[in-house]
Amino acid sequence: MHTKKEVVPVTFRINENETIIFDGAMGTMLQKRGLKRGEIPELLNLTAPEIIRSVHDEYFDAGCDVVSANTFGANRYKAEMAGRPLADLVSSAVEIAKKAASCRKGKYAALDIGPCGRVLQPTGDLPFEEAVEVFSEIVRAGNKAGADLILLETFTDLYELKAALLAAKENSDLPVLATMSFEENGTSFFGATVESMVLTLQALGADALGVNCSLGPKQLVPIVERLLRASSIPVMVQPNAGLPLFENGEARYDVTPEEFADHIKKFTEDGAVIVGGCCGTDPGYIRLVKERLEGVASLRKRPPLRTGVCSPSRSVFFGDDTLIIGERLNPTGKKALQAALRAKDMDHVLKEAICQQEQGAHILDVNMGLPDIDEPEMLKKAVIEIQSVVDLPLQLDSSDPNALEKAARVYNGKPLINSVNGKKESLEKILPIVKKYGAAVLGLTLDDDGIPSSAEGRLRIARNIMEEAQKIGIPKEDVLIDCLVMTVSAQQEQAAETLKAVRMVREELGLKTVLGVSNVSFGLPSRPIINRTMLTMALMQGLDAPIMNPGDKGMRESIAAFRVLMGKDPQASGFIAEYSGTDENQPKTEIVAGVSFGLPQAIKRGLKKEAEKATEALLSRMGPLKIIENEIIPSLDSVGKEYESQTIFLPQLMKSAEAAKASFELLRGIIAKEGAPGSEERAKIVIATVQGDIHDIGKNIVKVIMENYNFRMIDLGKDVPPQRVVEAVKENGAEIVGLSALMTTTVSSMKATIDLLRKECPLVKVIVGGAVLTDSLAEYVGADHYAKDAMEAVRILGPK
Amino acid sequence: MPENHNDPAIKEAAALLGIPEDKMTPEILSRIAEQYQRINEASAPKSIFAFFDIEVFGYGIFFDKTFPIRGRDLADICRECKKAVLIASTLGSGIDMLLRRSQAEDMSDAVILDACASAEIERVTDLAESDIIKFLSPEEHLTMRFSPGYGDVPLEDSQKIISALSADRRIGLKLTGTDMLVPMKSVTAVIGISERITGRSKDCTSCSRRESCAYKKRGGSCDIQNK
Repeated sequence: MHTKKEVVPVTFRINENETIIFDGAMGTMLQKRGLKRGEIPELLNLTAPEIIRSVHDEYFDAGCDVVSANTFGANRYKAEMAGRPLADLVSSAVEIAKKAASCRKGKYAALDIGPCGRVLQPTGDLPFEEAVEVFSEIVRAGNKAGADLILLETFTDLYELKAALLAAKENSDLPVLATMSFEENGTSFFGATVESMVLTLQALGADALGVNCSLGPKQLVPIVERLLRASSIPVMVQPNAGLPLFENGEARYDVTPEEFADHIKKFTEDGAVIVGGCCGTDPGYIRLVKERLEGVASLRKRPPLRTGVCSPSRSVFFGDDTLIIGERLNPTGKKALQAALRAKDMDHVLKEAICQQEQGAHILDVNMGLPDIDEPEMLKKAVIEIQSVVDLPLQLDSSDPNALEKAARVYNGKPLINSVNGKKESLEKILPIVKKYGAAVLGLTLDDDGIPSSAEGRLRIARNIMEEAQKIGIPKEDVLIDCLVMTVSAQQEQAAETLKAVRMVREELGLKTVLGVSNVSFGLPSRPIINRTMLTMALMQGLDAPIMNPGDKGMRESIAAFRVLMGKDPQASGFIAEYSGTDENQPKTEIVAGVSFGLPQAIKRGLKKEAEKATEALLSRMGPLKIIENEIIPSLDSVGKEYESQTIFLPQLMKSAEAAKASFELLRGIIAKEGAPGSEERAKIVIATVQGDIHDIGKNIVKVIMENYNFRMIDLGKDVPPQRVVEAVKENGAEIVGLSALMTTTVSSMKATIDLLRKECPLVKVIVGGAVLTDSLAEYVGADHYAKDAMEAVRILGPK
Repeated sequence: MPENHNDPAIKEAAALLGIPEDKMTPEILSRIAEQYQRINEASAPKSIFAFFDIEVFGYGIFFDKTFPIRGRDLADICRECKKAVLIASTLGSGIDMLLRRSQAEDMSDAVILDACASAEIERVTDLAESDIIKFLSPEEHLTMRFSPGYGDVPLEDSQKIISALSADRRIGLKLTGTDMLVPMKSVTAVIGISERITGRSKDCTSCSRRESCAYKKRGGSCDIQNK
């Protein structure tokens, strides 16, 4: 009945026993056909479809199974440059590739998606959600036009790749293959490692992952080895035709088709399932690959999944060694952090994050739960900001599923979600978030009946959590268990049950365990003794990762000793390095022995520790406010004068400002705790680097100086839209706005911000600064004042 | 890699911090050297360039008859050239994170670190220029290096340099929506190839910051022209 022409739709599938061959380069082929450097290749889909078709035909004839449609750079930004609708560029390309594929048997057309050319925040200015949308519109157009699969390739930013992968999943059911481009050291331009890519993409549900472009097949050997060792899903390899040799600006590649095909054969034998070529390869290369792969099959056994989480540049695996999860990014019981969060001030959070990393934390728990703040927004913001300065993987900690979802979505890498528990509602809400956003999850052994008093009861809940996770496709390796420590002063027999449960979960379920130990000692004297002993006992039961204060010396010592005794610290070299010759290891100190300074001298010389000590000494004689007015501000004034007369320069000025800040922070803490009559700050100042501008060091300099003059600085960061400045002014009742812009291109956005302020907040005074600003430009943008530097801003606002 | 205090890169960092040589102290010099070391450790410098045939018009230059880069100042500099080089260089994105982290830790180190990074990207681009010179015939000379943002060359023309060099794919260089380079410490530039030796120095008259330059405001200059 069927006519010959009717096409039976075949779905693209990856079969571990059959190598799939992709095509080679498109750009190289188009250049041979006259495409010039700087021209937009995707335009040819509309202006010369026959050229694109001929490239596909040549590749199919050479023996490839899948061709990539000419959509690599087709995104809204390129479409705008080309002056053509994006959907036209994409669908025409997919249709051309589809036509070439469908007149052959068992051949497929991939929607090819490359990086969008913009950089995501916080390094660049593209918000994560906009990136998802940029890719979503490509996916929708390609899916509609009939693509068989999606190839995400040549990404160097793992974060951007996550956005693209989410877009692919949210807008189609097509298989998704994802590859990144690495440098020879196995790191991408944006610092992503092979292992982090594997952890992230596997958890996000890619169908295959791998490496393309970047290098020739020879240089890719160690990278492919790492991929095959790490990945439990099919691996794809598309090398360049060697390294480019530039002759007169034209690239030529140094690997012949024969050498190329030999390498590909080896990759296939080692376990790569999907192969093809990138820059510099042509149908000649693919033809030889096809020939060489005849009868070749992979013998790879996929490595078992491991329990791991990562940031783009750092992966940590549970089980190898004890991991410390830093607990201090949590406002519970911390007044200073609470105040900072209410003021939306992230400085405190960032400092604490950096400090915990320096103290040896491997993962940081992030909890932003305070009753009177918007926790989902705050957790999301904290994750973005912490990841911009610290490369440790994060543990997202909230009881609000909405907060966890928001944070997991924007997380760069694979996070650990803290937590799910055995309650039906929790399982139903949390596990889908874990699955969709490619996370690992920490399960608490409690359910609707509370925390079972027996280890067996907790094991039962742990098993239930594991099985529920597996039901929706979360592998058991991504489930960790917290057996919950109880307060020993209230329930003495419970400590032993918790310890027993840790062992049972490990032995009977094979799951990794996490434990917050410090609660155990509530209500007892000398709590550190109990804490560190409980920790040691738990480690002996096989605990993988304590949640603790990495600054707790005693607990760190216990871990160090445990590692020696259990043979996890070969030759005890870590222990010896840390604990021998403590005299030599003393941190270098700022203080000359025996000499101590008054606060003014400490500030003038820029000595932080001395400034703190001098402040403490002064507190016995005068109140915090007096210290600010009589000691700090006059000292800064005198330093400022030296700066203006060019006796000292910016580095010394800032060093004094940092010393003053150390003193100030100590005083603020006291004021926050005890309150001080008449201690209100001077004016509130909203400060921001304007929209589109990502250079904010100037603004940060001004902020540090002004804070020391007791202004309350509300820092909105960089790349701030006008509307947010207006909102912050209204929210805080600020009297002054400080705006900075570095480039001519962002002066217009400074003007837009001031225009909106004039309309919405007519009473506010605006001071502008930044490299590009001048008095006349300040007048043009409508500012009240132009300050050439921080000291001038202080002068403009006048003495108190 | 600057190793001693007389290193030109360290001197340039000091100049960028606005510190005249006669006001330099050993303490600041050693702080600069210390921060420069951090830049060296985090930096992954890369440069690429390519040669193009050009046609010079009054308002700018056409490359390979395909795309223009605009700017009368640039056209003036390349007036007698028939070829030009496009160059792109970067210290890599690791520096961006280091700069952010440093600002969260201690602003006084951060301002020095930032100046060191700026000095380093200039040094890296200078090195690439020496490589370019190796490709020239004895009769050919480079004009000064001119970046989008200098004079009247629009910042947005950086995109054309990035596209023409595939700098995105090859060295990870991109632009923000407002045409700022990412990674932050990067350079894109045009250098004309002339058969006559031209003034290689940057002077304040062709600098886009001539109105707002902090050094000029203090009565000096950034010293770049004295290198």
